[in-house]
Amino acid sequence: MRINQRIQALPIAFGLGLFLITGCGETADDHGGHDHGDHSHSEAEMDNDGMAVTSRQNTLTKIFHAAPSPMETASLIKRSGAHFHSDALNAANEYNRYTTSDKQAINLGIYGADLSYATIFEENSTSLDYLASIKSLSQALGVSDVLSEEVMNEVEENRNDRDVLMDIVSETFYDLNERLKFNGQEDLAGLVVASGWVEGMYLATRHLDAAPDELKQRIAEQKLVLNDVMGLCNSYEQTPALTNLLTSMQSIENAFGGVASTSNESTTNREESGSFTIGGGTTFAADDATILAIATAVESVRAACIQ
Amino acid sequence: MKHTIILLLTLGLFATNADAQCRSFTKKNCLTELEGYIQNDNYNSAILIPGDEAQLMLTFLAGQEYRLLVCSHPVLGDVTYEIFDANGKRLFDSRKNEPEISYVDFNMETTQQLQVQVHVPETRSAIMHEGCVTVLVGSKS
Repeated sequence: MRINQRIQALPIAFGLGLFLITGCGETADDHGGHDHGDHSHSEAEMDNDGMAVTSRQNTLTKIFHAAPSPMETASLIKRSGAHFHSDALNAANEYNRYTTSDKQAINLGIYGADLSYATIFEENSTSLDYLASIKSLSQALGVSDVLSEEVMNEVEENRNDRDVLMDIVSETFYDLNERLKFNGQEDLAGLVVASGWVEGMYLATRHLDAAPDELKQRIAEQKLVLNDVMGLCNSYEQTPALTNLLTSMQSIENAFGGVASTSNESTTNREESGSFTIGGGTTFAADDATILAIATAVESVRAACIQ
Repeated sequence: MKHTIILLLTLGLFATNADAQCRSFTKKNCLTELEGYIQNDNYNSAILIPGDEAQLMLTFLAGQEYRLLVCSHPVLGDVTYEIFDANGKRLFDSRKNEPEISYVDFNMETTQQLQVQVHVPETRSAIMHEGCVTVLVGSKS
């Protein structure tokens, strides 16, 4: 009996020993040399300033993945001279149709892009409707504090101030991304990012007959952003929902295959203000048939997302 | 079995605590530097040690102004960063920047995928520290 107790206690003794030996550093498995993995965790008990003593000996290369936000896409649509199309949005009052966490995350991304689009075009009343729906979906996903009463009151007080609303929207989605990752729900964060990009593209590709040439150019360049989105989402643990969405987006990747690119050297110029201007680089071009193929593929994926 | 689970939970708690401290560090020390810019949605923060590197590949859109901020705990020393284009041409080196400025502002004339490489300097100290490093991107039209 006593031997059994000792055997049962072994894992704890071993674990505590390991913890003390590593001095709160990376786990033993992470000591395998120069690591190009995606490790962001440490067993360190950090102080409040974000530092601690480590005993990790081997260096690593941390790979961050990111993608432009729906707010950037919406901004790009407006700058290209396109108009606001309220009929293209997924109705804000449909949020209660989404009852599984996967669907809620997907439509959080959809609504986030709709909200960004409405905010950029200063459709403030529409923005408030979408914020309310996003608050409900966030609550359902257990991250309701990203849109606290305090934040909602701030929105109400600044309902006619586009810049404040843009700040609130981007902070909300940053907090949401951070909270989902922190909660170990990276797959849901991936669904939000991927569906948000799909919705941004859906909004950009409506009413193409009246679309300015600059918008078509910007759509062609989204080939790079799609690459970002796929890289980001593929870095997360693959759940059936995330895999399904990424697989369905393969049709969009195929449509982007028609975009032609020409490689040029990048240029930099330093301004008097101290900032830089970066130009040159690869240029992208797509004919109307390719743009239409992209629009059709996006529409199909988006239709499945909002079901 | 029960003890193993307790052990795993305990170790998991330390990892969660470290992550929480990085979140707190980022909120307190980094996000304020993006004043006037719309922050990108992605939270990119990691606990690094001397000699570590971090990489971020991101598409920057034509017509936007950007602020790229590499925010690190002072215990890691002078963390530097470089920006490369898709062909590996170096466009920016923070070592040529003012030492107290942890960000770079730039305008994009064209849409490009850029790679940011972050370097944590080596140390000769007997006691090695780890600290949070956060890469943030803000934009405005």
